[in-house]
Amino acid sequence: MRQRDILLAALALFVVWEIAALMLNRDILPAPTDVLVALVVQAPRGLGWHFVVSAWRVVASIALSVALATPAGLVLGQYPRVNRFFAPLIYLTYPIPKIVLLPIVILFLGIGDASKIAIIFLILFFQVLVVVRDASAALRSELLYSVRSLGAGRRALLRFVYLPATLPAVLTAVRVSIGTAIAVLFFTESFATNAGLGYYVIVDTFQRIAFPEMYAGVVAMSVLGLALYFVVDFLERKLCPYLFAK
Amino acid sequence: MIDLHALTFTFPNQPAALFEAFDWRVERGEFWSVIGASGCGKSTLLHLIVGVRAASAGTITVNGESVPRKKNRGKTGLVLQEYGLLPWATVRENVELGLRIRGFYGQNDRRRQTADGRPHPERSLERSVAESKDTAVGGRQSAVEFWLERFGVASLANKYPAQISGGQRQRVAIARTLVLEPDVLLMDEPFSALDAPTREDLEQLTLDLQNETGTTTVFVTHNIEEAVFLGRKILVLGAPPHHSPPRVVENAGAGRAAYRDEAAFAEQTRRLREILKGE
Repeated sequence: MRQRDILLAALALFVVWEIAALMLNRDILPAPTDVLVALVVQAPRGLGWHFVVSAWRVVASIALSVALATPAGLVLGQYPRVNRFFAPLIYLTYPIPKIVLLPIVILFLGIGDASKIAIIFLILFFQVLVVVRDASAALRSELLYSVRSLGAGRRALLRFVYLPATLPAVLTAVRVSIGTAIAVLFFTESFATNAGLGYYVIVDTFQRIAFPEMYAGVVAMSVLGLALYFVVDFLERKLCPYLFAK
Repeated sequence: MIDLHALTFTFPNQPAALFEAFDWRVERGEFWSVIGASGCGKSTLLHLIVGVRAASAGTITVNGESVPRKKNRGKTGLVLQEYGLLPWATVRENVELGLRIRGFYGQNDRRRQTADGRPHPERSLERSVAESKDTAVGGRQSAVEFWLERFGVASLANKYPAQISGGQRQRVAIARTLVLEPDVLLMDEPFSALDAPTREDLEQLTLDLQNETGTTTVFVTHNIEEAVFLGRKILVLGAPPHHSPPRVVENAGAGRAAYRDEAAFAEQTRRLREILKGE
């Protein structure tokens, strides 16, 4: 996929939205040009700050879950006995929609950043854990033998085999979880807080009936998701160039 | 060079042993073929010698050291049929891998020493600078480049394993072990997935290398012609469990390119076929 195609797709969306707004001609669907103006005007007046707050929460959750789930997944993948012990627990907890734990998390961590980061962390942690475990368990014994014959012990295997082997799986897990992570963030920011894009859209602008500003918040949320998506794509190209070699 | 004494090995959860008090000796500079049917334990024998599997009983030493060789990491080279190369690393990175692993442990050893507080910090700094000039950059690069050239894969140095042919992959796999200057080279059916011309090419290359470097080599194969063409001694493994004394066929004619076309070669393959049938 080329950058030009993505720009064209964005342009097409923009045009369809503009036509729909013209045809409907109601203030609940402002034209994208009006929304862009609102976006530019509001950015320095709070919207930019809300964007930064939301971005921090979701990036911190991703970083925390990757940092904790990768080593845990590597251990489970390399030690079948440990995995056999934990597998039933993961099997039970993996499908639980973590968002339902939100009230409990808030009871324990309060209504600040910590509870929001924790709930997204819970979602991502299991995604990353399972893919890292499966990717490291699926490594062929031939590969491990041959690298061991070159003198690698446990630490060198980790550094030269397990980490690079599981990296694409981690990035894929993060990529597929970004949508969920932002949806959950949006939900957690829509009450009992005064910062973040969810707050801006649901609590602030929606209740003020400031439609162009509200749409600007929605666009900002989409841009956040898209930007993270691009970052993961970029990292994949940088860190796993062999996946793209032809 | 390789000494197996009273080796016993049983796979976990399997009733029968693969090796039972098995003795075998490979002298320095020898080229052995090991032949036998699938599942006879040929690969396991190499895994035991390299030390990635542990014997149930008995001893294995390589160059007088018990395996795995803690002091001489990577000095027992192992080349496998497939899947030995890192798919995410380029040809050059794969060939460098053993040296990078060595550097990885070297650095950590130094750090551990300093933590103990024994060596002088200035001296270890000096030494590390000297090392980085000497081996890490200069020596490492020249050894890597030499073997890339020698194996005709220098032009592929920046390609990934998935982008090159099976024969080229095996050249890279052998080059990778030779960079570490192994004193023993173990090859596990390295050419059996290749087409006949490529295979004969690489068999010749293996012979040439052995003649040049005199590296003690054990070549496992299930192909009778290959075993006879390469090994000056042939270890025949029948149905397990394998006992002492091992069944050895002397094959002094091997080691020359012309051997393949001689009557003695045909006679030797016929003999080996008979022996394998009888086993």
